[in-house]
Amino acid sequence: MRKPKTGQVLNGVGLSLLVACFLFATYRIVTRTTEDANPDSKVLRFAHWQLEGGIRKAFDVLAREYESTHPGVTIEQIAIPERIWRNWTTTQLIGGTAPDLIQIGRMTTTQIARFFRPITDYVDLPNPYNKGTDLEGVAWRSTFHDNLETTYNRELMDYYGVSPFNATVRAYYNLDLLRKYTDSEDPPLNLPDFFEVCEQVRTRSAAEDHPIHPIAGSTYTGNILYDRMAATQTQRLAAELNPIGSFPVLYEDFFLAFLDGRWSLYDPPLQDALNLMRRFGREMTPGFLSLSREDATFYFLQQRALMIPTGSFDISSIIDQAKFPIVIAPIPIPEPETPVYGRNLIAKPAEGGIRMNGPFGTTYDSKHPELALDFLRFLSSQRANQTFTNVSRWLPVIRGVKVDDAIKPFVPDRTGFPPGPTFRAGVEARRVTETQIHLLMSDSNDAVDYADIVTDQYARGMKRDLETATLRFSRNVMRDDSTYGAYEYLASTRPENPDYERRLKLIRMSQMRQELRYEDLIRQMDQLP
Amino acid sequence: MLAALSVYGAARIGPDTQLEAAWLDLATLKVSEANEVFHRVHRRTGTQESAYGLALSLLNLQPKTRGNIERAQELFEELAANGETDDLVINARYFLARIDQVHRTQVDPEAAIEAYRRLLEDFPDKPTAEKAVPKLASALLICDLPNNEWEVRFDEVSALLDQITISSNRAATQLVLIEALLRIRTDHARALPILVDLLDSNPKLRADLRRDFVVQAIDSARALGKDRIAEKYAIIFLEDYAYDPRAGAIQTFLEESAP
Repeated sequence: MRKPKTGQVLNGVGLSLLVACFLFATYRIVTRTTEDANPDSKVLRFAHWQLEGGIRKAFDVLAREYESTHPGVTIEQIAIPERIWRNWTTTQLIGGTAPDLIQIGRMTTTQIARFFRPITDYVDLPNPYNKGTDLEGVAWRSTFHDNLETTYNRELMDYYGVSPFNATVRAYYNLDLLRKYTDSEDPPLNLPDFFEVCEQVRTRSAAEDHPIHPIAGSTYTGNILYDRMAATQTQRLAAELNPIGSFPVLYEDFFLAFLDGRWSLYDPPLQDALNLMRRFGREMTPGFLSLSREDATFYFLQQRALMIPTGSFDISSIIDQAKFPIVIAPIPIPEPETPVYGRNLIAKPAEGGIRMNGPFGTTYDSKHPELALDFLRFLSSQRANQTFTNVSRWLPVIRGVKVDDAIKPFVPDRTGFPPGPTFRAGVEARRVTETQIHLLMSDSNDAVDYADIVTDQYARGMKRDLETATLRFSRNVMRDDSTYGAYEYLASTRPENPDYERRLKLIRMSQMRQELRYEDLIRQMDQLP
Repeated sequence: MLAALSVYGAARIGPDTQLEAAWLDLATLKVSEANEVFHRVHRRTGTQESAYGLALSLLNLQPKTRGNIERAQELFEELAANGETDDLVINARYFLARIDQVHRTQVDPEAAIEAYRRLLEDFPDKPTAEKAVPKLASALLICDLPNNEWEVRFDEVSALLDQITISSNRAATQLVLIEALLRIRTDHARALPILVDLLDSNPKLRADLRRDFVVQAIDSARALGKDRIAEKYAIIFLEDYAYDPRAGAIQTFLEESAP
């Protein structure tokens, strides 16, 4: 018998695969068509980029619960990797094939206006799924910790979505390593103790085959730490730069003050901030500046680092994969009584993070917009949010939802004084930080050397950022003229619709606010040396 | 073929229906769609409504070009001269001033100031013209001038404020006065009463705006030693904006100021 040639075998395999794919595709089309053809059947699809552990399971549990009380409804969850999220959503939205609900956190205002339905008409009505709870009869908007402010689009003057979760950042410690190298089970809660623990870990593990590093480092974890530390050290300075109030100025005013010579990288608060960042950099995995978030997590799970700073959204991924006990604690930051660094603070820096993350919006492509709205109401009811947080271990967004002990360490701390701007504010100034930070971590430079190298670059970057900010304000103001004119015309010619007058009032104030900000920025920039 | 069919289809829909949709598109930032319809209807009917819509859409048509702004100016000038109603004339003149104030590559605030002043003089009793007051106030006051000159301008705006009948125009003008007093003069004493009036008269201001105004009221009251006023707004802030990062500091202030 003649042996078949390799090429013939490959052709056969290829053909078989082709036939298999064809049959599978045919099956999918036939089953989908059957489903669509059933007049009593409705399929609601929702898409998100949250691939972290726990969340898909939580969405599944809620989807099944919703289906059980809504016969004929099927809920499909579509999880899309973060790196292709933008391309995928853009293609779906433009192609008219978008799912009913999509996370809108990364959409532009133009995309939101074009592709998503506002939910403004419903936010002041009670959520019917809160019946029988202490939120019964309360306006949907007021059932959220942040009064839904996160999803209010200031430019479009509408609410567009809701989400069931929130996130904060904490330090995850490997309890076995903590015990082994510090003889304690308690994570350090203040900065001097933290550096003491780092020293112990480095010293005591140095003689081992695989030395342990205090922090699982990466660009991602590095940025978390730089931001957290720098924001503490700029707190007092930024508050003192506020000529009309007691709270720290926003980054535009902070940049203006830099360009005006009112602060420099050589001033004690900034030198302290740089030294602190440098100190944290030295506690991280060597080469962390070229490592990704996944690398750092892997390093931590391999028990090669004592701690990893990351978000509450990683809790399930880390706890489920770790073969060691985890203890979670706040990231130690300087407080007023902390030696050296405490002098730059007014009070303990406050934490934000009570706002919701990644809200879902209903697309105009949705075949079942009422059902989509109903599912959003269900998802954000007190009971569903309780289930969601119990299963996912993510922070809830609805008032009255209880968090179990596992996620209590993530609950935002509302005490303290707002922090100042960071070195990663703006776009161009941030780029300087991100491209030059390696110089700060280098053995051959100190914080003064770093200031020598980057001061001019920061000045150019901040100037460009301010120009961009004025351009943005100016564009918004100009754009609002057309919108204002249109609503004014609609309000005067269609008085039967009070919504036009309501929007006209809103835009009048918001445009004026932006215009004043623009005029004042221009005025101050004109005065710069 | 498809394009031809779409034009044919659009032509079969009445101009009024098309314009209604175009106004809604313009209001919701679908400017190119709105511009296309206004342009088409204006070419066919030449109505003042279509001219006005076309001019407004040209102000925000991307990419922004000098040609579009000049065309918008021509249309507004025509409406300002021959508008069928006072309101249309007022609106056209208002947007001509806006072109001078913000839309030109080289803006001309002095020309805008004169245009707003003439508009308000010509139509003193028309509420439609009131929207020029906050814009005039901004052009007059957000600038560095010798003290006397600035105060004369401030008095001019204060006098206009008393004549405003539409609450949102009044609120927008108050906003300008507050910002001007605080940012140009660092004058908490004159800013605080205006701020208090703005907050108390507009309980339904947009949440993010109101939140910042409440914080400013607390700060200004504290700067002036008016702790009772600061406490009043601190309580409001903590009730309405407990999630804000400033809540902790405001809570501390309230606790420390308690008798």
